[in-house]
Amino acid sequence: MKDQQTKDCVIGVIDDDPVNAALLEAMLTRAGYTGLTFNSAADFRRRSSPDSVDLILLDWDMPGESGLEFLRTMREQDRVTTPVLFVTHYNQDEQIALGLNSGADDYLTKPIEATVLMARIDSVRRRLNPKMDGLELWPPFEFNIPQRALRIEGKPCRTTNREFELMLFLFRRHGRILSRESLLTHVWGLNSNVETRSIDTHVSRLRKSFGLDGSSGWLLEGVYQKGYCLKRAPEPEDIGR
Amino acid sequence: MNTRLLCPDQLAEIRALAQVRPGFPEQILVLFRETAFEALDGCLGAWLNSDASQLKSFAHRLKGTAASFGALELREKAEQLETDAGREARIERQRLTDIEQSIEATHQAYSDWLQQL
Repeated sequence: MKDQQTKDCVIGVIDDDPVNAALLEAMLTRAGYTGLTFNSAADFRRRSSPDSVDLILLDWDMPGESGLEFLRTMREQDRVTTPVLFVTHYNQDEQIALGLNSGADDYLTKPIEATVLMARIDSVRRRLNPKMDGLELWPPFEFNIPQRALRIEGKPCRTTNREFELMLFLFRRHGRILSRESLLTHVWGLNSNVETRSIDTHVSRLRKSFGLDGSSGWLLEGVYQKGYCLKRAPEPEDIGR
Repeated sequence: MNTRLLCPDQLAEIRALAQVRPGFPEQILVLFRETAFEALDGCLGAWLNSDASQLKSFAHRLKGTAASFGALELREKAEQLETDAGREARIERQRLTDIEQSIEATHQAYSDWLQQL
């Protein structure tokens, strides 16, 4: 089992082959990651979003939208930079080159060997997130991941596990609009029976108890019909411009 | 264990995964059987409609499932079927029966392996 940062790393597996998806998900679990499986690009968009996961393992050949089409849309239209590893049976040099040139961060051919998969994932994470010392800072918020502890302006703040997870999830994706479904999937878990209004209750509490109403310098804003977005609160001099 | 049907490395992988997820080896067998037969049904439907493109597509899916599961013989047969369908070569019905038998044989070999776990 790896450290807490690994556990916090959510990896989306998009693969229409249930056998391969189950294997990948089990491999991720064994390595300490949180793996979520989706049987198509549409399923992924419905229940999650590229912004909501830390890394995507993507099959190429899927009915409907192929992995390649999904990746191109994600990079070219949506401008999302979430790392993507292709996991596919296509093993020709030109296919590998096409996958990488379309925006994949790495490329693996099936069948997958767990040690190689984990090494590639770790390599991509190291490359994109070189600072992994257990502390994540979004001043004045300081998240101590191993201890699950939060400080604001240096003062310890008591949080429930859910509040900690929800805030961490939002801060890591600040500036992005996150749907309620996505928050449910990633913070409450795929099989939770929680209703979306419970999220609204939590959001309201975060605003009041932790200053995410703008008073801390961060604003957790509702986006009509889309979800929530955590962003830096405008400076007083910006207001009214 | 029948190494013609099943890849020993993949079985070792599955055995290791069972350490964190008891019941995984049984679960993956059920998924394999369902997915393989679903793809074979697709092949059969495409063959009956003389639709080479669909046949190639379903054979490709079957090949993928077989490869992920470590079903060596089945993977080889599915790959050959995919290649032949891609070339629009004449494909005998017997090829699909052979594949069905290969799925069953793989299932049996894996079940035997499970007994020894």
